[in-house]
Amino acid sequence: MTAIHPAADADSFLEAAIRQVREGDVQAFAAVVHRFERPLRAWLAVHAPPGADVDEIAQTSFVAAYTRLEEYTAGTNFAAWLFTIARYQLKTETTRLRRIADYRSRYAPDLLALELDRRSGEPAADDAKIGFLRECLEAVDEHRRRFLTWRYDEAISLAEMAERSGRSVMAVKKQLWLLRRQLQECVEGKAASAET
Amino acid sequence: MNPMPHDPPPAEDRFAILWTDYLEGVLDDTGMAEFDALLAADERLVARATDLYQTHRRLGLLAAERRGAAVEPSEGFVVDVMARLPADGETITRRVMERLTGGGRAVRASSRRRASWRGVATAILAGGGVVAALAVMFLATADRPQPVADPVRFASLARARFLGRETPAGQSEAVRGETYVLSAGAVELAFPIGATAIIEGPAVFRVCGSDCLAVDAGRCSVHAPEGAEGFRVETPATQVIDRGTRFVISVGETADTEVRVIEGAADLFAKQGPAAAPLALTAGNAARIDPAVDAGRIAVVPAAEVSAAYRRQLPDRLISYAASLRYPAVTDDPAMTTDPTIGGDDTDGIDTLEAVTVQRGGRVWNYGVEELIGVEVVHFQADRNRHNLVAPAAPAWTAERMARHDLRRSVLESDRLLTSGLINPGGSRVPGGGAAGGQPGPGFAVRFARPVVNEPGPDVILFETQVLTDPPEGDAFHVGPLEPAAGLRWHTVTAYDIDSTSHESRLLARYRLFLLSDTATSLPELLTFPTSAGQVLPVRARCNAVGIDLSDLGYAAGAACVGLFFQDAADDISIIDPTFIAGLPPLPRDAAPAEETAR
Repeated sequence: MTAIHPAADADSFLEAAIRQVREGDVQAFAAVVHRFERPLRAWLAVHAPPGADVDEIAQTSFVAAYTRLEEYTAGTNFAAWLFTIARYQLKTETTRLRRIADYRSRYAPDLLALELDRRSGEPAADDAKIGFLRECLEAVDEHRRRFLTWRYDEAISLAEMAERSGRSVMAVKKQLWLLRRQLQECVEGKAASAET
Repeated sequence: MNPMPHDPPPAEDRFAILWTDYLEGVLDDTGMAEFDALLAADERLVARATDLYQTHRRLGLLAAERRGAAVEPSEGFVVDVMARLPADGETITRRVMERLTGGGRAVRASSRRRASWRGVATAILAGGGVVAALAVMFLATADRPQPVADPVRFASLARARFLGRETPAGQSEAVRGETYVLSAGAVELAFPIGATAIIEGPAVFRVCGSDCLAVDAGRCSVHAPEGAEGFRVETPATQVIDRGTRFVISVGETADTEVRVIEGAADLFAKQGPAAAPLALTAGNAARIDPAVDAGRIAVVPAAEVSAAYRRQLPDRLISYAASLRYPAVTDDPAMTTDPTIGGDDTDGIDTLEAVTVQRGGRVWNYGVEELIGVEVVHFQADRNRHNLVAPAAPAWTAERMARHDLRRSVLESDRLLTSGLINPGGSRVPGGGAAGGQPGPGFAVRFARPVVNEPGPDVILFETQVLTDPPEGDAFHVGPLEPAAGLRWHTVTAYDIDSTSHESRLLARYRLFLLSDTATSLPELLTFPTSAGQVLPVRARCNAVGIDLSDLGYAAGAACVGLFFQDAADDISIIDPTFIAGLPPLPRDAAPAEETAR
């Protein structure tokens, strides 16, 4: 063959799925969840305060989107609509946590939570920043990158990192601080370059 | 010595240490108070802490991506979301409640209440024995939070057919106390406490509660994850109470019952005979009760003697498809505007395939139609039926235009219309039969645009139009390799993943049927013979579909298939009417198949 045509792009697939859901085909909503599961969870992971259950908020957001699907205007930006719902769900959960938490022992610093909340209203550029971070990681030499591997891939303790590297726990903490600072500045630099 | 470029200046040293301690989870209360004070004194530190926190979370995401957890959609996540969707009635109730209360947390609240109940049940079960089991039974029936709001649902169905009732839709509620006779296929029930049960037909079952399933006959594979302990299965001869496990239970026609625990533990009670302590089964244990011999005797048997295999999931299959309407039918005939077979308020139906959802190797994949591997028709031979072309009942598909060879062949190979195709090909009772005189034989053959790789589960999908007066189970057909080779064979498809009884089957838009001037015994004849003006059928049709696993044709795992030959099975007067055939793309190399059954 000759190719199947015309090519249906991802948006038309999404709109078709939404239309099916509205017509009563509940199963079609699985395609919507598949499409946005990863970006939504990633966005929530970056904007949710410590202690928040990201998957729970993501699932609640999808359920809320489903129950309010009739409010979505077909052909407009479904992603933006969904993320607005998720932002609302995140704010609700953050508020709930702040109400019930003993900040100093179980919750994030209040000012951090407020700043995260403020940033959740900014245009989402998380996919780009994750891409930049991936590039920045590649620029970190292997000797120092092993600390990140231990921390994020193997999730070992500071003490074990110290033992493996032959350095003190305090030196390991400092190394992690420096690496995070370096990577954060690298990402911001790339983001600024991309905007100009 | 000069400081390193990113060394924190002395004033930030404390912040760096405290913040790192916080992210590593080792910051104590005193440190947290100090940290809060630091942030409150300098708002720049708040921004910096937030920057670093977000970088920290992104590093975690990248690590998850490297592990593969974030590359593909998490099927468990999708399943969880789908299980939480309210049914129609609930949606309405929920909206009313939200308006009244101004909140939207009913689902979560319900979930958490369940969790606390599970905790109680788990704690009681930790005590073990009959008392614990009775306590769980009491909790199951007496004090369950929100039992009505959390119905048992048909989570998914695979070629399921029920005696005397329509096939339930996915996510529909299983009516408590009602007997379901599953004559074929399999269904997965999802219970609100988190347990799932896969029932394979033929089987007779009943939902007897939020945490209870009665199986009168048939095989059932139960998974009760942590928190769902206490789930129980009732059979005519036994009661099995789960204690956090996977087990399979098989009930014969004479109520003879076999139970085998795959993981965890379960307590098995005999319903008849003298009261006795339950038999505690753990992983690898199996037991049997045969009321015809001794209704009160539970016999421990070697697991190898239990024939029933545990099924972890429903079989690989074409689950559903998404389609839209591109060419609404145009007709002046008032009789065509309504259809008594589907009600007077007729929808226009669908005609254009948008995407398919397929389970392959135990995982669910969504493919947009543009991702599929198209086909080129290389052979066609009809028997006596000269109605070999269908096309949408829209002005564009006039007989005049259908005289164009490219348009005529496009109906199967290059468009994605489900209302256009090359139908009523020849058939044979014997797979591959009928070849003579150097001709390939009755049927039709297609070559894929690029080879289709044999992966776990379906590799090729076929859609056909099935008029409502035709058998709802679809038209059986043979399929064989286009290029025969050692080890390859014909395979007969007798059941469709989505047939006319399935809720996933969609009503097609009206289409036009063209009659050829003579019987097409070759592809050139099919493409050149004059046709009638085309007739819009008075009876509507549905779109059925099936996935074909190349393994059934003898292809080895990973082997490539260049094309396929199709024949009607000639088992009845109804002939296959294909409207869309395509190959599925190969799976990513890291897509490890999920285990389907456990012995």
